[in-house]
Amino acid sequence: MNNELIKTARRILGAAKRKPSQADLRRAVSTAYYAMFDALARICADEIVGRSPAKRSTAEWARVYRALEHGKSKNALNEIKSRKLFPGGIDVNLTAFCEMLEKLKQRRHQADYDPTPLKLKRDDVGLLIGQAETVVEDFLGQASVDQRRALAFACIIPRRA
Amino acid sequence: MNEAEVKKLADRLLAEDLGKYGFREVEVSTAEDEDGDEFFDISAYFNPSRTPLDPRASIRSTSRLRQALLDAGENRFPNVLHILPGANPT
Repeated sequence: MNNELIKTARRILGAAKRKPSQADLRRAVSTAYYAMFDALARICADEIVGRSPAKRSTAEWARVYRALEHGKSKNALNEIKSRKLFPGGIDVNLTAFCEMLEKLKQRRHQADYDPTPLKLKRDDVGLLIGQAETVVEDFLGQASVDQRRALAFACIIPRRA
Repeated sequence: MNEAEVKKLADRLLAEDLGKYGFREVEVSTAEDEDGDEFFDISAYFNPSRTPLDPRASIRSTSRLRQALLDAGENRFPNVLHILPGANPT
């Protein structure tokens, strides 16, 4: 679904032959964020329940997918770092994924709730969408199973203090 | 770190990483996210360049800036918005 949302963000941005309106730009930024959030929710469900078509059709998979909350991903990277699980360090793609998600979450909040005109233009929002697409592709394609799983657990299952 | 210190650091690192894409300078302010946590709202401005800004290079440069801030004891997140040359904002 995240690819579909990325396409939707680009369609919002590019549909108008005219200069995109503030509303177009805001909707495109927001949709790019939800593309990343959807990707993360899928990663969580895949890593905790399973990624086979059969697993993905279960109620358990849907339940984990829906369990991801917008605030929970914020500190996931710090939690993973603090546990020092990976002797070789944190994968650059995991770091980039978490940082981009945080960036888009903050920009989505501005786009949805701050009446101050966005300083972004069509190309700038296009770059944001391209950044979101890149970090998702790189993370899914290159991060190890262990690091994908660590991200999923850090986002879904809070550590006890 | 104050905003001027963050600007100095970001200007240096982004010039190293993104200079070939036309990076010019950053503007830094502080803002609050929806949880009330402060972050650095950084606008990175670019001059026209023959080389389009590569999304991956821009992402990596932000990670490098983030790590440099952490190394300096600064935990606030640097949210870098890349402002490309072109028509005025809508």
